[in-house]
Amino acid sequence: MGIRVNLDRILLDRRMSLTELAERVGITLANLSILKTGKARAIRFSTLEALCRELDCQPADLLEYEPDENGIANAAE
Amino acid sequence: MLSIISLKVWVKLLPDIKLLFIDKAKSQLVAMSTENTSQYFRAAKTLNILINIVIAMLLLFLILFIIVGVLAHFDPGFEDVLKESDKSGMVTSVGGLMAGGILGGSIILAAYLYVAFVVRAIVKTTVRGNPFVSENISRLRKTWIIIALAEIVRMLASIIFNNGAANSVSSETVIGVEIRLQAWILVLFIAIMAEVFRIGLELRRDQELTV
Repeated sequence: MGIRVNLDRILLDRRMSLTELAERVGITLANLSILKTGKARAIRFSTLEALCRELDCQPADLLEYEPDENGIANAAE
Repeated sequence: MLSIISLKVWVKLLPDIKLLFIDKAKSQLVAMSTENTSQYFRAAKTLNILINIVIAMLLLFLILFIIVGVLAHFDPGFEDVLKESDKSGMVTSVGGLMAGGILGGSIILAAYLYVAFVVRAIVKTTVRGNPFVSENISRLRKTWIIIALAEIVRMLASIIFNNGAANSVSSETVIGVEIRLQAWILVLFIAIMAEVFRIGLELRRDQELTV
């Protein structure tokens, strides 16, 4: 994937558990785990908004673009 | 003054009225979707019954074909019975041709029986409410390939059978092949459906992995 999710790092900084965040944001723990492990294919703006609100951060703090070895992002993967 | 008070009351009540209408609309939508789902399950169950009838008929035909084949092979008088029943009197010898016809017919029937079982498996997944599974894509691919192969076998058998029958009554060689357009349209349709299922599965995976 060309996009890396830095959720675990932010959670560590905020000293917040994944379960607590799931409760605050209002999404299931399973879905949040999918996002944290980088398995998610898409993220809704509403989810991103809720995450940024609860974690008091910007979308750029959560998501990071990471080019592949040959410099091309594998967006369609 | 009275109109101002009534306006204020209306403004206060507006959110409640709005909620009432939204709730009503939501409940109607839920009722509609439930109705659609029950109709969908009814249709799927009807399809399941129909496919079972088709399987039973195909099995019956296949058994009949096998019985005719066995009788023709072991009972020398059976061929005479067939010859006597032929009123046109054009075909003088049917032994080899009949064996070929029975063999070709049995292969085609067996292929369609297999297709019917595959379709039943697809219908079963539909009854369970989850037709967009990877197994169904391979099932649909198998289906169109088998129907296409069965059609090719039928065309080859008809060439052999027609030429044999024509040669038995006249010295002229007639090469004719019947292309059934509807069968090839069906093959094309099922092949397209397999691709539609593949895209449907992709969309479903996307939806499942959308947070």
